[in-house]
Amino acid sequence: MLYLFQLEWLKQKKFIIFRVMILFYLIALPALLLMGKSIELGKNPPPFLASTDIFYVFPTVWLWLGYIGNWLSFFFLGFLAVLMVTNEQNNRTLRQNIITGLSRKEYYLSKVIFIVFLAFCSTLYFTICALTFGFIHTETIYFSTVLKNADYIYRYFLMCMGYMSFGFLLGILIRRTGIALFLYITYIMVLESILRYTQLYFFKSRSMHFYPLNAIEDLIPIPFSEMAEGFIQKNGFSLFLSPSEAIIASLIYIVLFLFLSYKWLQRIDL
Amino acid sequence: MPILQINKLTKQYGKITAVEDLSLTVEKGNIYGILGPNGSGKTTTLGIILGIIHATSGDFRWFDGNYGINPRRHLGALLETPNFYPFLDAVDNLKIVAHIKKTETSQFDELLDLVNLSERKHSKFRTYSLGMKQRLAIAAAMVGDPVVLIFDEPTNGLDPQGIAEVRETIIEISKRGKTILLASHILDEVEKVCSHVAIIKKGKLLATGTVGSIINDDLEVEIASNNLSALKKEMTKLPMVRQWEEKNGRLVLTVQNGFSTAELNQLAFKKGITLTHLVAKPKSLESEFLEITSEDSIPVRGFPFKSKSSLN
Repeated sequence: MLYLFQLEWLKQKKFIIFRVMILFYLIALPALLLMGKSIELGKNPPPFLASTDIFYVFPTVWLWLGYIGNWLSFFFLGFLAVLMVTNEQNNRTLRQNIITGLSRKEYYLSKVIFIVFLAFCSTLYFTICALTFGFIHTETIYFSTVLKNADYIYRYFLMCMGYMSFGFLLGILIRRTGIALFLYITYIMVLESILRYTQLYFFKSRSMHFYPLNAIEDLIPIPFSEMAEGFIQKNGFSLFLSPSEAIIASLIYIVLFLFLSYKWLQRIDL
Repeated sequence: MPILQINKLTKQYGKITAVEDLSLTVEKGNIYGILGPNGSGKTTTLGIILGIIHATSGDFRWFDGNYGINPRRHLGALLETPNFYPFLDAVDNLKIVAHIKKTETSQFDELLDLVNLSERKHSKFRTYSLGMKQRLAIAAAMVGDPVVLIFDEPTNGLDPQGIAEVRETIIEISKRGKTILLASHILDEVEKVCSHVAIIKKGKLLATGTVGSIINDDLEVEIASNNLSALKKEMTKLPMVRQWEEKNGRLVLTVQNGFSTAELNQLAFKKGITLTHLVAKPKSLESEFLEITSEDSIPVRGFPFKSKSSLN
Protein backbone atom coordinates (compact mmCIF):
# COMPACT_ATOMS: atom_id res chain seq x y z
CA MET A 1 0.00 0.00 0.00
CA LEU A 2 2.86 2.33 0.84
CA TYR A 3 4.41 1.36 -2.48
CA LEU A 4 1.29 2.47 -4.36
CA PHE A 5 0.97 5.67 -2.37
CA GLN A 6 4.61 6.55 -3.06
CA LEU A 7 4.05 5.98 -6.75
CA GLU A 8 1.17 8.43 -6.86
CA TRP A 9 3.13 10.87 -4.72
CA LEU A 10 6.04 10.79 -7.19
CA LYS A 11 3.59 11.67 -9.94
CA GLN A 12 1.74 14.45 -8.13
CA LYS A 13 4.28 16.24 -5.98
CA LYS A 14 5.76 18.36 -8.77
CA PHE A 15 2.49 18.86 -10.62
CA ILE A 16 1.94 22.61 -10.47
CA ILE A 17 -1.87 22.53 -10.72
CA PHE A 18 -1.95 20.04 -7.86
CA ARG A 19 0.11 22.35 -5.66
CA VAL A 20 -1.89 25.44 -6.58
CA MET A 21 -5.23 23.78 -5.95
CA ILE A 22 -4.17 22.40 -2.60
CA LEU A 23 -2.79 25.80 -1.62
CA PHE A 24 -6.04 27.53 -2.59
CA TYR A 25 -8.01 24.99 -0.64
CA LEU A 26 -5.88 25.50 2.44
CA ILE A 27 -6.15 29.28 2.26
CA ALA A 28 -9.77 29.56 1.18
CA LEU A 29 -11.29 27.36 3.87
CA PRO A 30 -10.47 29.66 6.82
CA ALA A 31 -10.35 32.83 4.70
CA LEU A 32 -13.91 32.51 3.42
CA LEU A 33 -15.20 31.97 6.92
CA LEU A 34 -13.28 35.02 8.13
CA MET A 35 -14.96 37.09 5.44
CA GLY A 36 -18.08 36.67 7.56
CA LYS A 37 -16.58 39.27 9.89
CA SER A 38 -17.17 41.92 7.28
CA ILE A 39 -20.88 41.22 6.94
CA GLU A 40 -22.99 44.19 8.05
CA LEU A 41 -26.09 42.80 9.69
CA GLY A 42 -28.07 46.06 9.83
CA LYS A 43 -30.71 46.90 12.42
CA ASN A 44 -33.06 43.97 11.99
CA PRO A 45 -31.03 40.89 11.21
CA PRO A 46 -32.94 37.71 10.32
CA PRO A 47 -33.58 35.61 13.42
CA PHE A 48 -31.25 32.79 12.39
CA LEU A 49 -28.39 35.22 11.92
CA ALA A 50 -28.57 37.38 15.02
CA SER A 51 -24.82 37.86 15.12
CA THR A 52 -21.87 36.94 12.94
CA ASP A 53 -20.47 35.18 15.98
CA ILE A 54 -22.36 32.03 15.08
CA PHE A 55 -19.88 31.50 12.27
CA TYR A 56 -17.06 31.02 14.75
CA VAL A 57 -18.39 29.61 18.00
CA PHE A 58 -19.08 26.06 19.07
CA PRO A 59 -21.14 24.25 18.02
CA THR A 60 -22.21 26.19 14.92
CA VAL A 61 -18.68 26.66 13.60
CA TRP A 62 -18.80 23.04 12.38
CA LEU A 63 -21.84 23.82 10.24
CA TRP A 64 -20.58 27.00 8.66
CA LEU A 65 -17.01 25.91 8.04
CA GLY A 66 -18.35 22.59 6.78
CA TYR A 67 -20.60 24.34 4.30
CA ILE A 68 -17.68 26.37 2.94
CA GLY A 69 -15.66 23.15 2.79
CA ASN A 70 -18.51 21.58 0.84
CA TRP A 71 -18.11 24.12 -1.96
CA LEU A 72 -14.32 23.99 -1.90
CA SER A 73 -14.27 20.20 -1.97
CA PHE A 74 -16.73 20.09 -4.82
CA PHE A 75 -14.50 22.45 -6.72
CA PHE A 76 -10.88 21.72 -5.85
CA LEU A 77 -10.92 18.10 -4.72
CA GLY A 78 -13.34 17.04 -7.44
CA PHE A 79 -11.19 18.77 -10.05
CA LEU A 80 -8.06 17.09 -8.74
CA ALA A 81 -9.73 13.69 -8.91
CA VAL A 82 -10.71 14.31 -12.54
CA LEU A 83 -7.24 15.60 -13.44
CA MET A 84 -5.49 12.75 -11.67
CA VAL A 85 -6.89 10.29 -14.18
CA THR A 86 -7.46 12.32 -17.34
CA ASN A 87 -3.86 13.56 -17.24
CA GLU A 88 -2.60 10.00 -17.25
CA GLN A 89 -4.81 9.13 -20.18
CA ASN A 90 -4.02 12.27 -22.19
CA ASN A 91 -0.28 11.88 -21.67
CA ARG A 92 -0.71 8.15 -22.31
CA THR A 93 1.22 7.52 -19.12
CA LEU A 94 -1.45 5.10 -17.89
CA ARG A 95 -0.65 2.98 -20.90
CA GLN A 96 3.05 3.37 -20.21
CA ASN A 97 2.60 2.50 -16.53
CA ILE A 98 0.96 -0.78 -17.50
CA ILE A 99 3.66 -1.53 -20.08
CA THR A 100 6.33 -0.75 -17.51
CA GLY A 101 4.87 -3.37 -15.20
CA LEU A 102 2.04 -1.96 -13.11
CA SER A 103 -1.11 -4.05 -13.14
CA ARG A 104 -4.40 -2.32 -13.81
CA LYS A 105 -5.47 -3.16 -10.28
CA GLU A 106 -2.34 -1.57 -8.82
CA TYR A 107 -2.90 1.54 -10.91
CA TYR A 108 -6.48 1.75 -9.70
CA LEU A 109 -5.52 1.20 -6.09
CA SER A 110 -2.76 3.81 -6.21
CA LYS A 111 -5.37 6.36 -7.31
CA VAL A 112 -7.95 5.32 -4.75
CA ILE A 113 -5.40 5.32 -1.96
CA PHE A 114 -4.39 8.82 -2.95
CA ILE A 115 -8.01 9.95 -3.00
CA VAL A 116 -8.53 8.55 0.49
CA PHE A 117 -5.35 10.32 1.55
CA LEU A 118 -6.58 13.65 0.17
CA ALA A 119 -9.98 13.20 1.82
CA PHE A 120 -8.29 12.36 5.09
CA CYS A 121 -5.99 15.40 4.97
CA SER A 122 -8.85 17.73 4.05
CA THR A 123 -10.93 16.42 6.91
CA LEU A 124 -8.03 16.78 9.30
CA TYR A 125 -7.50 20.34 8.15
CA PHE A 126 -11.21 21.09 8.46
CA THR A 127 -11.19 19.71 12.00
CA ILE A 128 -8.14 21.72 13.00
CA CYS A 129 -9.60 24.93 11.55
CA ALA A 130 -12.98 24.42 13.21
CA LEU A 131 -11.39 23.68 16.57
CA THR A 132 -9.09 26.70 16.28
CA PHE A 133 -11.92 29.09 15.43
CA GLY A 134 -14.11 27.59 18.10
CA PHE A 135 -11.58 27.78 20.88
CA ILE A 136 -10.65 31.36 20.03
CA HIS A 137 -14.20 32.67 19.73
CA THR A 138 -16.25 30.68 22.22
CA GLU A 139 -16.33 32.33 25.63
CA THR A 140 -17.24 29.43 27.82
CA ILE A 141 -16.20 26.12 26.49
CA TYR A 142 -18.03 22.99 27.46
CA PHE A 143 -16.80 19.73 26.15
CA SER A 144 -20.35 18.85 25.14
CA THR A 145 -20.82 21.97 22.99
CA VAL A 146 -17.48 21.41 21.28
CA LEU A 147 -18.50 17.93 20.28
CA LYS A 148 -22.16 18.64 19.64
CA ASN A 149 -21.73 18.70 15.90
CA ALA A 150 -18.54 16.69 15.76
CA ASP A 151 -20.28 14.13 13.57
CA TYR A 152 -19.54 16.68 10.87
CA ILE A 153 -15.98 15.37 10.90
CA TYR A 154 -16.77 12.01 9.41
CA ARG A 155 -19.56 13.45 7.28
CA TYR A 156 -16.96 15.83 5.87
CA PHE A 157 -14.71 12.89 5.05
CA LEU A 158 -17.52 11.09 3.27
CA MET A 159 -18.35 14.24 1.35
CA CYS A 160 -14.76 14.57 0.09
CA MET A 161 -14.79 10.92 -0.91
CA GLY A 162 -18.12 11.42 -2.65
CA TYR A 163 -16.99 14.31 -4.84
CA MET A 164 -13.68 12.70 -5.63
CA SER A 165 -15.06 9.26 -6.46
CA PHE A 166 -17.55 10.91 -8.82
CA GLY A 167 -14.78 12.94 -10.48
CA PHE A 168 -12.62 9.84 -10.64
CA LEU A 169 -15.32 7.85 -12.43
CA LEU A 170 -15.99 10.67 -14.90
CA GLY A 171 -12.27 11.02 -15.61
CA ILE A 172 -11.89 7.31 -16.30
CA LEU A 173 -14.99 7.13 -18.46
CA ILE A 174 -14.44 10.28 -20.49
CA ARG A 175 -10.62 10.53 -20.66
CA ARG A 176 -10.59 14.09 -22.03
CA THR A 177 -9.81 16.63 -19.33
CA GLY A 178 -11.95 19.46 -20.68
CA ILE A 179 -15.05 17.43 -21.35
CA ALA A 180 -14.78 15.54 -18.07
CA LEU A 181 -14.44 18.76 -16.04
CA PHE A 182 -17.28 20.38 -17.93
CA LEU A 183 -19.54 17.42 -17.31
CA TYR A 184 -18.50 17.27 -13.67
CA ILE A 185 -19.55 20.86 -13.10
CA THR A 186 -22.67 20.87 -15.24
CA TYR A 187 -23.94 17.62 -13.82
CA ILE A 188 -23.58 18.78 -10.24
CA MET A 189 -24.71 22.37 -10.71
CA VAL A 190 -27.32 22.07 -13.44
CA LEU A 191 -28.15 18.65 -14.78
CA GLU A 192 -28.98 16.92 -11.55
CA SER A 193 -31.19 19.81 -10.41
CA ILE A 194 -33.10 19.68 -13.66
CA LEU A 195 -33.62 15.94 -13.24
CA ARG A 196 -34.66 16.30 -9.64
CA TYR A 197 -37.15 19.13 -10.15
CA THR A 198 -38.60 17.51 -13.24
CA GLN A 199 -39.20 14.47 -11.12
CA LEU A 200 -40.73 16.62 -8.38
CA TYR A 201 -43.05 18.20 -10.90
CA PHE A 202 -44.50 14.82 -11.81
CA PHE A 203 -44.25 12.95 -8.50
CA LYS A 204 -44.23 14.81 -5.23
CA SER A 205 -41.91 12.37 -3.53
CA ARG A 206 -38.85 12.53 -1.35
CA SER A 207 -37.08 10.22 -3.77
CA MET A 208 -36.00 13.36 -5.61
CA HIS A 209 -33.43 13.90 -2.86
CA PHE A 210 -31.69 10.58 -3.39
CA TYR A 211 -29.83 11.56 -6.52
CA PRO A 212 -26.12 10.88 -5.98
CA LEU A 213 -24.65 14.34 -5.82
CA ASN A 214 -27.55 15.74 -3.83
CA ALA A 215 -27.05 13.03 -1.25
CA ILE A 216 -23.35 13.86 -1.07
CA GLU A 217 -24.14 17.57 -0.81
CA ASP A 218 -26.67 16.94 1.96
CA LEU A 219 -23.97 15.37 4.12
CA ILE A 220 -23.14 18.95 5.00
CA PRO A 221 -26.22 21.01 4.06
CA ILE A 222 -26.75 24.74 4.00
CA PRO A 223 -26.76 25.84 7.66
CA PHE A 224 -29.75 28.19 7.53
CA SER A 225 -32.28 25.48 6.86
CA GLU A 226 -34.98 27.92 7.97
CA MET A 227 -34.77 29.26 4.45
CA ALA A 228 -36.19 26.01 3.26
CA GLU A 229 -39.46 26.32 5.10
CA GLY A 230 -41.25 27.50 2.03
CA PHE A 231 -40.29 24.23 0.41
CA ILE A 232 -41.76 22.23 3.28
CA GLN A 233 -45.03 24.11 3.15
CA LYS A 234 -45.34 23.61 -0.55
CA ASN A 235 -44.31 19.97 -0.81
CA GLY A 236 -44.89 18.56 2.63
CA PHE A 237 -41.34 17.29 3.14
CA SER A 238 -37.96 18.79 3.95
CA LEU A 239 -35.59 20.18 1.38
CA PHE A 240 -32.82 18.02 2.80
CA LEU A 241 -32.12 14.42 3.51
CA SER A 242 -31.72 13.52 7.14
CA PRO A 243 -28.04 13.04 8.08
CA SER A 244 -28.36 9.26 8.35
CA GLU A 245 -30.12 9.04 4.99
CA ALA A 246 -27.40 11.18 3.41
CA ILE A 247 -24.69 9.03 4.96
CA ILE A 248 -26.16 5.74 3.80
CA ALA A 249 -26.99 7.02 0.32
CA SER A 250 -23.52 8.57 -0.07
CA LEU A 251 -21.81 5.39 1.04
CA ILE A 252 -23.74 3.40 -1.53
CA TYR A 253 -22.89 5.88 -4.28
CA ILE A 254 -19.20 6.05 -3.35
CA VAL A 255 -18.93 2.27 -3.47
CA LEU A 256 -20.83 2.23 -6.74
CA PHE A 257 -18.63 4.90 -8.35
CA LEU A 258 -15.44 3.19 -7.27
CA PHE A 259 -16.73 -0.20 -8.34
CA LEU A 260 -17.73 1.05 -11.80
CA SER A 261 -14.34 2.78 -12.20
CA TYR A 262 -12.60 -0.47 -11.39
CA LYS A 263 -14.68 -2.55 -13.78
CA TRP A 264 -14.29 -0.06 -16.59
CA LEU A 265 -10.55 0.20 -16.10
CA GLN A 266 -10.20 -3.58 -16.25
CA ARG A 267 -12.23 -3.80 -19.42
CA ILE A 268 -10.89 -1.14 -21.73
CA ASP A 269 -8.04 -1.30 -24.22
CA LEU A 270 -5.59 1.44 -23.39
CA MET B 1 13.47 -21.74 -22.41
CA PRO B 2 11.42 -19.73 -24.87
CA ILE B 3 11.17 -16.07 -23.89
CA LEU B 4 7.82 -15.55 -25.54
CA GLN B 5 5.26 -17.89 -27.02
CA ILE B 6 2.32 -16.43 -28.88
CA ASN B 7 -0.42 -18.87 -29.65
CA LYS B 8 -3.16 -18.20 -32.22
CA LEU B 9 -3.62 -14.60 -31.17
CA THR B 10 -6.59 -12.77 -32.68
CA LYS B 11 -7.82 -9.24 -32.10
CA GLN B 12 -10.94 -7.83 -33.66
CA TYR B 13 -12.12 -4.25 -33.55
CA GLY B 14 -15.73 -4.64 -34.58
CA LYS B 15 -15.58 -6.05 -38.08
CA ILE B 16 -11.95 -5.25 -38.58
CA THR B 17 -9.45 -7.96 -37.74
CA ALA B 18 -6.23 -6.32 -36.62
CA VAL B 19 -4.40 -9.53 -35.76
CA GLU B 20 -5.44 -12.93 -37.06
CA ASP B 21 -4.40 -16.30 -35.71
CA LEU B 22 -0.86 -15.21 -35.04
CA SER B 23 1.60 -17.66 -33.53
CA LEU B 24 5.30 -17.23 -32.98
CA THR B 25 8.05 -18.12 -30.56
CA VAL B 26 10.95 -15.96 -29.49
CA GLU B 27 13.96 -17.73 -28.02
CA LYS B 28 16.48 -16.30 -25.61
CA GLY B 29 19.09 -14.13 -27.30
CA ASN B 30 17.09 -13.59 -30.47
CA ILE B 31 17.00 -10.15 -32.00
CA TYR B 32 13.55 -10.68 -33.35
CA GLY B 33 12.19 -8.35 -35.98
CA ILE B 34 8.50 -8.00 -36.65
CA LEU B 35 8.27 -6.61 -40.13
CA GLY B 36 5.18 -5.27 -41.79
CA PRO B 37 3.71 -2.13 -43.29
CA ASN B 38 1.95 0.46 -41.16
CA GLY B 39 -1.36 -0.86 -39.94
CA SER B 40 -0.38 -4.49 -40.32
CA GLY B 41 -1.01 -5.28 -36.67
CA LYS B 42 2.49 -4.98 -35.25
CA THR B 43 1.61 -2.50 -32.53
CA THR B 44 -1.63 -4.31 -31.71
CA THR B 45 0.32 -7.54 -31.26
CA LEU B 46 2.85 -5.84 -29.01
CA GLY B 47 0.02 -4.09 -27.16
CA ILE B 48 -1.58 -7.44 -26.40
CA ILE B 49 1.59 -9.10 -25.13
CA LEU B 50 2.26 -6.00 -23.01
CA GLY B 51 -1.12 -6.10 -21.32
CA ILE B 52 -2.69 -2.92 -22.62
CA ILE B 53 -4.98 -4.52 -25.19
CA HIS B 54 -7.24 -7.47 -24.56
CA ALA B 55 -7.01 -10.21 -27.17
CA THR B 56 -10.24 -11.46 -28.71
CA SER B 57 -8.89 -15.00 -28.63
CA GLY B 58 -5.64 -16.87 -28.35
CA ASP B 59 -3.04 -16.49 -25.67
CA PHE B 60 0.61 -15.74 -25.03
CA ARG B 61 3.13 -16.71 -22.43
CA TRP B 62 6.24 -14.90 -21.24
CA PHE B 63 9.26 -16.74 -19.85
CA ASP B 64 7.40 -20.05 -20.01
CA GLY B 65 5.19 -18.77 -17.20
CA ASN B 66 8.09 -18.45 -14.77
CA TYR B 67 7.24 -14.93 -13.63
CA GLY B 68 3.51 -15.40 -13.13
CA ILE B 69 0.74 -13.47 -14.81
CA ASN B 70 2.44 -10.07 -14.74
CA PRO B 71 5.98 -10.53 -16.06
CA ARG B 72 6.12 -7.00 -17.44
CA ARG B 73 8.44 -5.84 -14.68
CA HIS B 74 11.07 -8.04 -16.34
CA LEU B 75 10.57 -6.43 -19.73
CA GLY B 76 11.55 -3.08 -21.07
CA ALA B 77 9.34 -1.66 -23.76
CA LEU B 78 8.95 1.34 -25.99
CA LEU B 79 5.61 1.25 -27.74
CA GLU B 80 4.80 3.83 -30.41
CA THR B 81 5.32 7.28 -28.99
CA PRO B 82 7.41 7.92 -25.88
CA ASN B 83 5.00 8.56 -23.01
CA PHE B 84 6.17 10.48 -19.98
CA TYR B 85 4.95 13.04 -17.49
CA PRO B 86 5.50 16.34 -19.33
CA PHE B 87 5.93 18.40 -16.16
CA LEU B 88 8.70 16.18 -14.77
CA ASP B 89 12.35 16.07 -15.83
CA ALA B 90 14.19 13.01 -17.14
CA VAL B 91 15.38 11.87 -13.73
CA ASP B 92 11.96 12.18 -12.08
CA ASN B 93 10.36 10.31 -14.95
CA LEU B 94 12.92 7.53 -14.66
CA LYS B 95 12.30 7.43 -10.91
CA ILE B 96 8.66 6.60 -11.57
CA VAL B 97 9.69 3.86 -14.00
CA ALA B 98 12.13 2.44 -11.46
CA HIS B 99 9.49 2.62 -8.75
CA ILE B 100 7.02 0.66 -10.88
CA LYS B 101 9.70 -1.87 -11.72
CA LYS B 102 10.63 -2.08 -8.03
CA THR B 103 14.27 -1.60 -8.91
CA GLU B 104 17.12 0.65 -7.86
CA THR B 105 17.43 4.26 -8.89
CA SER B 106 21.23 4.43 -8.87
CA GLN B 107 21.91 3.57 -12.51
CA PHE B 108 20.26 6.64 -14.04
CA ASP B 109 23.46 8.51 -14.87
CA GLU B 110 24.87 5.57 -16.76
CA LEU B 111 21.62 5.12 -18.67
CA LEU B 112 21.31 8.79 -19.55
CA ASP B 113 24.92 8.70 -20.73
CA LEU B 114 24.15 5.74 -22.95
CA VAL B 115 21.35 7.63 -24.69
CA ASN B 116 23.24 10.89 -24.65
CA LEU B 117 20.85 12.86 -22.47
CA SER B 118 23.01 13.66 -19.46
CA GLU B 119 23.21 17.34 -20.23
CA ARG B 120 19.45 17.75 -20.30
CA LYS B 121 18.56 15.42 -17.48
CA HIS B 122 17.05 18.19 -15.38
CA SER B 123 14.98 19.72 -18.16
CA LYS B 124 11.27 19.05 -18.16
CA PHE B 125 10.15 16.34 -20.57
CA ARG B 126 7.87 18.70 -22.47
CA THR B 127 10.86 20.77 -23.57
CA TYR B 128 12.50 17.81 -25.32
CA SER B 129 12.78 17.34 -29.05
CA LEU B 130 11.30 14.21 -30.58
CA GLY B 131 14.70 12.55 -30.81
CA MET B 132 15.41 13.27 -27.16
CA LYS B 133 12.02 11.92 -26.14
CA GLN B 134 12.71 8.76 -28.09
CA ARG B 135 16.12 8.36 -26.49
CA LEU B 136 14.67 8.90 -23.03
CA ALA B 137 12.14 6.18 -23.83
CA ILE B 138 14.98 3.82 -24.69
CA ALA B 139 16.68 4.67 -21.41
CA ALA B 140 13.39 4.08 -19.59
CA ALA B 141 13.03 0.70 -21.27
CA MET B 142 16.43 -0.26 -19.89
CA VAL B 143 15.73 0.69 -16.30
CA GLY B 144 16.14 -2.35 -14.09
CA ASP B 145 18.28 -4.07 -16.70
CA PRO B 146 15.48 -6.23 -18.15
CA VAL B 147 16.40 -9.39 -20.05
CA VAL B 148 13.97 -8.62 -22.85
CA LEU B 149 13.57 -5.31 -24.68
CA ILE B 150 10.73 -4.41 -26.99
CA PHE B 151 10.99 -1.56 -29.45
CA ASP B 152 8.15 -0.49 -31.68
CA GLU B 153 9.23 1.66 -34.60
CA PRO B 154 12.09 3.11 -32.57
CA THR B 155 13.38 5.26 -35.41
CA ASN B 156 10.03 6.67 -36.46
CA GLY B 157 10.11 10.39 -37.02
CA LEU B 158 13.82 10.76 -36.36
CA ASP B 159 16.32 12.50 -38.60
CA PRO B 160 19.06 10.39 -40.26
CA GLN B 161 21.51 11.03 -37.46
CA GLY B 162 18.90 10.12 -34.87
CA ILE B 163 18.08 6.94 -36.77
CA ALA B 164 21.74 5.94 -36.88
CA GLU B 165 22.13 6.66 -33.17
CA VAL B 166 19.10 4.64 -32.18
CA ARG B 167 20.18 1.69 -34.33
CA GLU B 168 23.64 1.79 -32.86
CA THR B 169 22.16 1.86 -29.38
CA ILE B 170 20.01 -1.18 -30.16
CA ILE B 171 22.94 -3.12 -31.59
CA GLU B 172 24.97 -2.10 -28.56
CA ILE B 173 22.23 -3.41 -26.26
CA SER B 174 21.95 -6.65 -28.19
CA LYS B 175 25.64 -7.30 -27.61
CA ARG B 176 24.91 -7.46 -23.91
CA GLY B 177 23.04 -10.69 -24.47
CA LYS B 178 19.55 -9.24 -24.33
CA THR B 179 16.61 -10.62 -26.21
CA ILE B 180 15.12 -7.91 -28.37
CA LEU B 181 11.80 -7.63 -30.13
CA LEU B 182 11.86 -4.95 -32.80
CA ALA B 183 8.78 -3.97 -34.78
CA SER B 184 9.45 -2.02 -37.91
CA HIS B 185 8.10 -1.30 -41.36
CA ILE B 186 11.57 -0.81 -42.75
CA LEU B 187 13.15 -3.88 -44.31
CA ASP B 188 16.57 -2.36 -44.17
CA GLU B 189 16.33 -1.72 -40.45
CA VAL B 190 15.29 -5.27 -39.61
CA GLU B 191 18.00 -6.64 -41.86
CA LYS B 192 20.70 -4.57 -40.25
CA VAL B 193 19.74 -5.21 -36.68
CA CYS B 194 17.88 -8.51 -36.36
CA SER B 195 18.77 -12.18 -36.26
CA HIS B 196 15.22 -13.45 -36.75
CA VAL B 197 12.22 -11.99 -38.48
CA ALA B 198 8.48 -12.45 -38.68
CA ILE B 199 6.65 -10.83 -41.55
CA ILE B 200 3.14 -9.64 -40.86
CA LYS B 201 0.61 -8.25 -43.23
CA LYS B 202 -2.99 -7.35 -42.48
CA GLY B 203 -2.68 -9.08 -39.14
CA LYS B 204 -1.54 -12.37 -40.61
CA LEU B 205 1.83 -13.99 -40.21
CA LEU B 206 3.38 -14.54 -43.62
CA ALA B 207 6.70 -16.04 -42.65
CA THR B 208 9.13 -16.51 -39.80
CA GLY B 209 12.73 -17.58 -39.67
CA THR B 210 16.25 -16.33 -39.45
CA VAL B 211 16.97 -13.17 -41.34
CA GLY B 212 19.50 -15.04 -43.47
CA SER B 213 16.96 -17.56 -44.64
CA ILE B 214 14.27 -15.04 -45.40
CA ILE B 215 15.98 -11.92 -46.54
CA ASN B 216 18.68 -12.80 -49.06
CA ASP B 217 19.55 -12.49 -52.69
CA ASP B 218 19.26 -16.17 -53.43
CA LEU B 219 17.54 -17.31 -56.54
CA GLU B 220 14.83 -19.90 -56.60
CA VAL B 221 14.91 -22.19 -59.61
CA GLU B 222 12.36 -24.80 -60.52
CA ILE B 223 13.66 -27.63 -62.66
CA ALA B 224 12.35 -30.94 -63.93
CA SER B 225 13.62 -33.82 -65.98
CA ASN B 226 12.36 -37.17 -67.20
CA ASN B 227 14.67 -38.79 -64.70
CA LEU B 228 13.87 -36.94 -61.51
CA SER B 229 15.86 -39.13 -59.14
CA ALA B 230 19.05 -38.70 -61.15
CA LEU B 231 18.43 -35.01 -61.35
CA LYS B 232 17.93 -34.81 -57.61
CA LYS B 233 21.07 -36.80 -56.94
CA GLU B 234 23.25 -34.59 -59.10
CA MET B 235 21.79 -31.19 -58.46
CA THR B 236 21.57 -31.32 -54.68
CA LYS B 237 25.28 -32.05 -54.56
CA LEU B 238 26.17 -28.76 -56.17
CA PRO B 239 27.85 -26.30 -53.78
CA MET B 240 25.80 -23.31 -54.87
CA VAL B 241 22.53 -25.05 -54.06
CA ARG B 242 21.63 -23.97 -50.54
CA GLN B 243 18.28 -25.66 -50.19
CA TRP B 244 16.13 -27.96 -52.21
CA GLU B 245 12.66 -29.29 -52.15
CA GLU B 246 10.63 -31.67 -54.29
CA LYS B 247 7.33 -30.29 -55.38
CA ASN B 248 4.79 -31.70 -57.83
CA GLY B 249 7.35 -33.78 -59.69
CA ARG B 250 9.70 -30.85 -59.92
CA LEU B 251 12.73 -29.82 -58.00
CA VAL B 252 12.82 -26.42 -56.38
CA LEU B 253 16.35 -25.24 -55.69
CA THR B 254 17.51 -22.24 -53.76
CA VAL B 255 20.63 -21.17 -55.56
CA GLN B 256 23.24 -18.80 -54.28
CA ASN B 257 23.07 -15.41 -55.88
CA GLY B 258 25.34 -14.88 -58.90
CA PHE B 259 24.57 -18.10 -60.69
CA SER B 260 22.49 -17.97 -63.78
CA THR B 261 19.99 -20.46 -65.03
CA ALA B 262 22.17 -21.02 -68.06
CA GLU B 263 25.01 -22.27 -65.88
CA LEU B 264 22.63 -24.60 -64.16
CA ASN B 265 21.40 -25.98 -67.44
CA GLN B 266 24.96 -26.52 -68.59
CA LEU B 267 25.91 -28.37 -65.44
CA ALA B 268 22.93 -30.65 -65.81
CA PHE B 269 23.70 -31.28 -69.43
CA LYS B 270 27.30 -32.26 -68.57
CA LYS B 271 25.96 -34.89 -66.22
CA GLY B 272 23.84 -36.23 -69.02
CA ILE B 273 20.53 -34.94 -67.83
CA THR B 274 18.25 -33.04 -70.12
CA LEU B 275 16.04 -30.56 -68.40
CA THR B 276 12.43 -30.53 -69.46
CA HIS B 277 11.58 -27.54 -67.34
CA LEU B 278 13.60 -24.62 -66.10
CA VAL B 279 12.07 -21.57 -64.48
CA ALA B 280 13.76 -18.97 -62.33
CA LYS B 281 11.36 -17.60 -59.78
CA PRO B 282 11.55 -14.80 -57.36
CA LYS B 283 11.39 -16.21 -53.89
CA SER B 284 7.83 -16.00 -52.72
CA LEU B 285 8.87 -14.20 -49.56
CA GLU B 286 10.80 -11.69 -51.52
CA SER B 287 7.69 -11.00 -53.52
CA GLU B 288 5.71 -10.61 -50.34
CA PHE B 289 8.39 -8.26 -49.29
CA LEU B 290 7.97 -6.31 -52.42
CA GLU B 291 4.32 -5.98 -51.82
CA ILE B 292 4.95 -4.91 -48.27
CA THR B 293 7.57 -2.37 -49.12
CA SER B 294 5.83 -1.05 -52.20
CA GLU B 295 2.77 -0.26 -50.09
CA ASP B 296 5.05 1.93 -48.08
CA SER B 297 6.86 5.04 -49.03
CA ILE B 298 9.38 3.49 -51.42
CA PRO B 299 8.03 2.06 -54.64
CA VAL B 300 10.27 -0.75 -55.83
CA ARG B 301 10.44 -1.70 -59.48
CA GLY B 302 12.55 -4.12 -61.43
CA PHE B 303 13.37 -7.67 -60.60
CA PRO B 304 11.98 -8.73 -57.26
CA PHE B 305 15.21 -10.27 -56.01
CA LYS B 306 16.89 -6.94 -56.51
CA SER B 307 14.54 -5.32 -54.04
CA LYS B 308 17.06 -5.30 -51.29
CA SER B 309 19.72 -3.41 -53.15
CA SER B 310 17.24 -0.87 -54.41
CA LEU B 311 16.20 -0.18 -50.87
CA ASN B 312 19.69 0.47 -49.68
